[in-house]
Amino acid sequence: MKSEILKLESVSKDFGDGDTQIRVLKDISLTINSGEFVALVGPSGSGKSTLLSIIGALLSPTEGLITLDNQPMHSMSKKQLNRMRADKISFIFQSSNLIPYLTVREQLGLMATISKLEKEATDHRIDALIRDLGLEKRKHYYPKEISGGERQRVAIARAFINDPSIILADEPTASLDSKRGRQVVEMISMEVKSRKKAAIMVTHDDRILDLCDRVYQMEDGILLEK
Amino acid sequence: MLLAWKEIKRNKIRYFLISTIMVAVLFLVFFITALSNGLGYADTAAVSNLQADQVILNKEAEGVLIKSGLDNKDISEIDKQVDEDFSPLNITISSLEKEDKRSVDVVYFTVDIKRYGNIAIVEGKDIKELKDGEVIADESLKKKGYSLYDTIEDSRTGKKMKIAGFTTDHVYSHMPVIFTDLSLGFQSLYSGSEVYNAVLVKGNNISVSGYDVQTVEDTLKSIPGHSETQASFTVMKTFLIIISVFVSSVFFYVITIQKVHQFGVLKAIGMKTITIAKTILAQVVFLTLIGLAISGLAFYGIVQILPEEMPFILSTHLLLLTGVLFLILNIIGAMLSVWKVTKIDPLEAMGRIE
Repeated sequence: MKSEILKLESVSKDFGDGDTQIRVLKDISLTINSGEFVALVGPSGSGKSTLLSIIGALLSPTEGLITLDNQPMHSMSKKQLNRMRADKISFIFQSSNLIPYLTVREQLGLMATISKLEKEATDHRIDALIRDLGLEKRKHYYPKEISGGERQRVAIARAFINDPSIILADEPTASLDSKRGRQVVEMISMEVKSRKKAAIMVTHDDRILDLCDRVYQMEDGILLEK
Repeated sequence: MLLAWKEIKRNKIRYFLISTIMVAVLFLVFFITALSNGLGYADTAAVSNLQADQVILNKEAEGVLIKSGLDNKDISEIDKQVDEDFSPLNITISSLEKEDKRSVDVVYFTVDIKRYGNIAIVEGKDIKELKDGEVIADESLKKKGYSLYDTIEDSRTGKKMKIAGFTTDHVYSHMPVIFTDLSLGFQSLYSGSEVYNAVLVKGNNISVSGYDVQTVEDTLKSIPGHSETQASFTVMKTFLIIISVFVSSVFFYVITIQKVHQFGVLKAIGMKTITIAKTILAQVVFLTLIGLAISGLAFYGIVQILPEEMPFILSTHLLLLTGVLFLILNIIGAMLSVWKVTKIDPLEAMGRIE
């Protein structure tokens, strides 16, 4: 059974003010259901990252409505948005953005602490994720000591710890070669399907689009389904 | 808090360097504080411990103890005007004869032992119990090889005296003080007639016409060079502390700037600003405490191996006070980094390759 996770209605975003105002996003509407993995492509400067930041509660839209899990994000305070990020949204960044002084296991533990999850249940989930993503042998390694692909897998594991509703991936394959990049996206796809999450991935890489359910093209602030 | 500790553990060199700077500067602060205290002590401890509330000097002395001279006529004039108990005081610098060795410089504080207040005695008799020819000496004389009931000989007059008691904290111009009674006659050693530097009075609200009356504290301040020395040391200490707080705050600020991206990531995944701020504060407090502990230990160590003549005095009380002050200032300095953290936008985490 598919349920609606994210809904954007006529979302616009302006940057700057007065004469220099630029409309970066123009009247964007989008709905994503559980178990759906959506790709967002387009040239740089087209507004992909801005859209991702708005969905990720890092920016507020100038106009329009966003609901995540039936909660209206467009009318939330900064503090509430912070809470949303900790509880319902997860990021996978271009570079893995792991904390350099924490081991793989500790990275995941930190995420659990931030989201104020119960220790026992989380320990279980952390171990399961580490197993799923093939990181068992790397559990006690620091980010510097593992490969780029492994780091990105840790980032994926971190994104799933707090049992988020939606995963936002900002060019997760940018720092990887094509083979490893594909593996990483396969893993995201697999986790999304098996855990019934929603995911949006911004990418430049056409070769991995076949792993996504839908592909959207972004151009000059306008969103089109391909 | 766990984050704070893990980071320090993984970046040992970086935090070791900060700690080293703190240790070095704090050590210097302790060293200078102790030296200024020690020098002040060796110079004037006997004056600050005078058993009196008010000190009467002649007008011409302008408050300077050693410039003042009062003869017997003055004393009887003061006697008429003052009801309270008083004792004259004469300060005479001389030396003690010592067989086969260099003589030892001392200062005689000649007082009326029956009327002078009770000074702290660490060994032997109280000042009021002294018999003829007996004196009380500062315990620093022990380091010169004298002990209780030894007979000492003044090298100028050849007078023999017996050390009947030892007092403490009575040094003047780096010389041990010896309390002698008027009957020993040191008040006329140089001038032939009896001359005193001051009259020491117990009790406040005294007015004596024709003479200057001041507190012991004022007398201490007007010792030539005393205020100047102490003021220079205070300036040095103040600047040292300001510089060290500045250096460590800037250090932490630079580290914070380096970690802007990382903090952005933490914020993006939902960590609260206050949690990050707490992490920084915990690190500042931790490193400052380490710096204080090590420099404190190093200071105590160095005091043990330095020659005893170096006048070092630093009480635990003062050490703690300096430490707490430094800690508070460092925490205030860390607010610069905390302010920076509040300005970090979680958007930092997006679209950048490390």
